[in-house]
Amino acid sequence: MSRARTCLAFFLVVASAWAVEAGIFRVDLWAQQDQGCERCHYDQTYTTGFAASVHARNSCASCHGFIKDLGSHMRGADRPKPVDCTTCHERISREYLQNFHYLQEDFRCVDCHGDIHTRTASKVPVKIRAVKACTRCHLNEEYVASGHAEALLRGNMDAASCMDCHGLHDTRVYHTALRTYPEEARMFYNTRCIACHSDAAMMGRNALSAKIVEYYEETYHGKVQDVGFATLVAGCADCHTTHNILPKTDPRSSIHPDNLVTNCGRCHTGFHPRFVLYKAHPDYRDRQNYPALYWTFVFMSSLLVVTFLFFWVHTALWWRKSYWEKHRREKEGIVEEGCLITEGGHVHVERFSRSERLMHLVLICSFFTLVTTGFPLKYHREPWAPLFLDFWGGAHMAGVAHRIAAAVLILLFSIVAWRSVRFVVAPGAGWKGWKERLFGPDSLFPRWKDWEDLKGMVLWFFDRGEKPRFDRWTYWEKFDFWAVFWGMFAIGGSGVLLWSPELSSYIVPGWVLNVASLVHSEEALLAALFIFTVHFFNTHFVPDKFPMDRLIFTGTYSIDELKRHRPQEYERLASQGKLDELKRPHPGIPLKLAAAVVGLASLLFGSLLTVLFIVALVGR
Amino acid sequence: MNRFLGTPSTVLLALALFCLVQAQPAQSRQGWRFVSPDTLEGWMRTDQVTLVNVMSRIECLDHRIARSVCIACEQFASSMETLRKDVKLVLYCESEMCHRSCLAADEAVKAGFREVYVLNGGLPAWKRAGYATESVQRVKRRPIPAVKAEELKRWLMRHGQYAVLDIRSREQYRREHLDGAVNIPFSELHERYHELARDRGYLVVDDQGFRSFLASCYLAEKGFQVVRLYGGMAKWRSYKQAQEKRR
Repeated sequence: MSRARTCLAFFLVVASAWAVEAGIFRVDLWAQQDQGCERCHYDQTYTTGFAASVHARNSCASCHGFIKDLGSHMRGADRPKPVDCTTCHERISREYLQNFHYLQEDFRCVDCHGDIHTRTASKVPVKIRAVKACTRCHLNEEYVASGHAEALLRGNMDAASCMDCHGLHDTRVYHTALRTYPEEARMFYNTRCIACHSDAAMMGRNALSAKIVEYYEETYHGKVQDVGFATLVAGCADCHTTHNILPKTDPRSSIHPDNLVTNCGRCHTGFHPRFVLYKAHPDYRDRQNYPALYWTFVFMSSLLVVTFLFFWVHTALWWRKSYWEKHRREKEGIVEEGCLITEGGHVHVERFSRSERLMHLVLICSFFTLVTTGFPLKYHREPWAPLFLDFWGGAHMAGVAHRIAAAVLILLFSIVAWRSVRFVVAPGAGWKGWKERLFGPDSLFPRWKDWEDLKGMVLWFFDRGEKPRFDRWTYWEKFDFWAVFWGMFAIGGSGVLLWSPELSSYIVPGWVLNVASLVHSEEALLAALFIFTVHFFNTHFVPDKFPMDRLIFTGTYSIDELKRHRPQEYERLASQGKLDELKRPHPGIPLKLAAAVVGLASLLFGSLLTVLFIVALVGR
Repeated sequence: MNRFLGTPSTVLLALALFCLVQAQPAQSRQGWRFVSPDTLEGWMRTDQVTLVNVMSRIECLDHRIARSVCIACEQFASSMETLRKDVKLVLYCESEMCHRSCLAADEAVKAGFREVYVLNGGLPAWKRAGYATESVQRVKRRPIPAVKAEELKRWLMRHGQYAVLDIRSREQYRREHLDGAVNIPFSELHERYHELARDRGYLVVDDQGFRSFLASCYLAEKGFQVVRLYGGMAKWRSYKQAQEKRR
């Protein structure tokens, strides 16, 4: 039978060649489709095999085109062009241009898919076929033993197969073994994990929490990763490993409590074992599992709400009253007090010493550095976050700048604390008269008059009384001082703990760092928004000072201004005969100009940041 | 003249010159330059270019940019007199992390070639840009199991019949190699594979894990039983360093 077929084939070849040579027929295979191919290519592969294949609806010429002359082809001269699968599989071929196996090892379609002439549709799901194909070379025993593989082989098609993480035709050129493209690789693989683990429907089907990604993204690791500096912090695979992904109850799992010290130790060094009590995916709204975080969140949120509710209402009422008052005077033709040239108009008195002004200037620089390096992490999803970090030279350099600015702030705080002590326990006088100094008019310590002034201001806001006659320090200035002073314990204390988490673990367990992160973040928001809204308004944007008060930079103001803003202080100084001691020359144009530039720039930048923060806060 | 030097046009001229200098293609101190795949493709259509594939003969014949000459980096110094010096000389190798084309370029500059270029990103960059390659003697791809560095010791103990075959250059082998490894550089493998005993398997080790696959496929085609080290010596080195750090 076989010999007869061979003879027939030989006859057909010779006859066809003769016919073509004699010009009896010419064949355009494009036009003629498959008529005649199987007469020579009669192997089962190209006949019955091909007919049963997934490509059966194609003709031979669909792939092996461009044969114009059959005679020439039969003589071996006119050979078809190499098969180009991209003609039909255009999208896949486009993806494949980025495939590691193509770029580096020059795998072609046939190397994985085998002989396409006999390729039939498989009933085995593609995910399982991918695992079988990949593990022929990649002996990933860890994957085979992992939770993903176990679920997949049980028939759970939600479970991750090789192709879900590495891609199918677009397996990237992230040579993980060599750690090339570390940034892109980390981002890519994190994205792959997140794609499934934030899919609520999929996680619901598998009794897993879809919020786990959101919780991770609220930690330092997640924020830095999300803002675009993935290599600096732990991504998904750093803790959960790449293939050996198992539930934390499994002793083989990298996140099993017994393995956490080793696991964390792959990135962190020099920590106490309780460092691993840090929660990598904490939910601060979960009172049951994270009570400390929950109550911290409740306290900090309440503090924010109460503080801003009070001061924003205070500010709004103050603005209303001042604005209305200004226009009432204007309407009634009453000249503003500041516009009248009086005896004290050109005489200046000192309010802030040179060292106090310098400290405030340093404080501004430190504060803006802290805000622009810290808030990009707090609002890591905002488009401006990476821009700010890039300005500082990346997340690492921003962290360095943040710590330097924090050290400066702590130094300023220490100086103020020391000066406060020296104010009460005065040099030379010692404890003698400390009560008078502490509760006196020059002290920032709250006293009964502040309460009276507050009540007086509220009455004035509602046109029920005159504006209180202030002495040296108003109640809102005292609040500014004490808010920063006490805030330093919260923001500074948490910041010091977070400065070096490994060292902190010798003092506190890891979960305290979670609490510290929350306190640091919320206190920072409180401080920044308070300064940029309440402090800016009270000191600069209030209608009778708008657009700014240069006093903190020049250090002096006129006696008229002293009389207008601090009438009680003026009277006290005048009656005590101390005014002359405080008289200073006019600050001069260069200082006033510099004060205007620095002050206005700070006010504008702070206002811009306020808008950005409020947009971020509302958009959360 | 003095008046001219004092005018703003001098500043503008200096600025323009500075920009011109900055706009020049990056040139290494060694005297050769990188060329992008798109530029090379343009040259190949219009100019006379000598393209040299500095990978091993097996790799070069397996797939290469059309009209390339196969001269392995190791043999480049002794073979380059056959190349024309009056046309652009472009060298490339198998990965963007490969330094062999740069080494060959250094040799070419020393030998007096004036227009020497290295294809930026190597052959993968050419392919990524969507340009075709040609195969003269393609090695059939087949599944070659890859052993990870962390598994290596255990794997070798379990598979005593396997020897380690190091396909890196002699210099690299001399500097550092796995215990008991034999060295046949990839550039000589097509001539020397018969030196290998057929009664045992081979664990093929390269520098970065990019070349051992094709070498293994080639040896498998010749009837050898082969596996390869995933990530090559680079991965082994980083694994060892991590181990030491942990200790």
